[in-house]
Amino acid sequence: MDGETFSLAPRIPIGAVAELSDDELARRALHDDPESFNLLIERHAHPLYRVVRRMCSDRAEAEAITQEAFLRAWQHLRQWQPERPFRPWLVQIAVNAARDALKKSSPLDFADLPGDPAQTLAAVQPGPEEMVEQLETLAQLTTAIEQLPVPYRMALALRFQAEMSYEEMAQTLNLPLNTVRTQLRRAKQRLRELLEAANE
Amino acid sequence: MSDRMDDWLSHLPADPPRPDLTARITAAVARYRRDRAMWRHIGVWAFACALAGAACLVVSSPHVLASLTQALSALEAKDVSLLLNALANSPLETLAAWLDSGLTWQAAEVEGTGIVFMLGVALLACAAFGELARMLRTGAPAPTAE
Repeated sequence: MDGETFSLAPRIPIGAVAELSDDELARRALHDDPESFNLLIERHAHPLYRVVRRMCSDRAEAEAITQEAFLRAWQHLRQWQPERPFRPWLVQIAVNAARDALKKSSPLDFADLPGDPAQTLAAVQPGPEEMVEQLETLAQLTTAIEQLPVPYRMALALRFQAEMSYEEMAQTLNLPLNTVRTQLRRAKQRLRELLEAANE
Repeated sequence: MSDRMDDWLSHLPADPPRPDLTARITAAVARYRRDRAMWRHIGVWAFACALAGAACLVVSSPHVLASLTQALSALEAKDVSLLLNALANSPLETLAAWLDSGLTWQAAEVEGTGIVFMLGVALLACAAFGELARMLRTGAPAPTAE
């Protein structure tokens, strides 16, 4: 995309633009409407960061990859096919950006500890007795994920953070469906082993 | 265990990004857009300079060719061995004399159609610098989507 100062997209009141779907905003961005793309950034920056964050073990790196993903998306917006939903396409770009970044850096880095688990747990488990146990389990799980190989972490991130179907995951990772299922199964198996080892 | 694992994985504690993440991304994309627009303008100007420069060269070429032919024939008329001997005997004086002759020729060129030729060369040089800078800039590692 080139930096045009005028927009070829049909004029819509500002408030109405905010209510447009992702695909519609992407279409408008495709017609040189930077404001529509800014809205897409607003909508997807944090969810995309959460997906990327699960793939890498450093917050700053996750932020850099998220930014890179949006830059690539803007640069290659003309390659987006309007019949394909925008979000999986964006996630795919983020996965590729993460792959590139993780190739350059060490994928295992335990320097960055997870955030406050209690905040998330409040929405999950109401029981106060289980709270402590689950808090500990989630912290262990987060640490265990960071020990997994990158492909497993990507599979987990797409499945549980991006909430993708197996088909979407296969398309995003450019892998056969069965390979995706196998990766996910093995990732969970490995996590179980790591949790058991931690509890011994 | 599998269902519980799925549940846990869906609710893993989030490590929030810095609050200004969205603003930084928006600024980065805007900067990228501005850069692209600026370099595109430079490309257009370089192309225009190249066209104008080439036109100047074409316009001035008959005069320049005639002038060059005159200079070459004048050079041929002189004995090269004499020139070399003069250079060997008194290099500084000879070089100064050559420089003087060159400047005189250039001054003669600048008058009349010669100035168009010089302008053409200058425009082509500008176009080449602009395009080179653009190529070096866009030759930097560009992100790929797929």
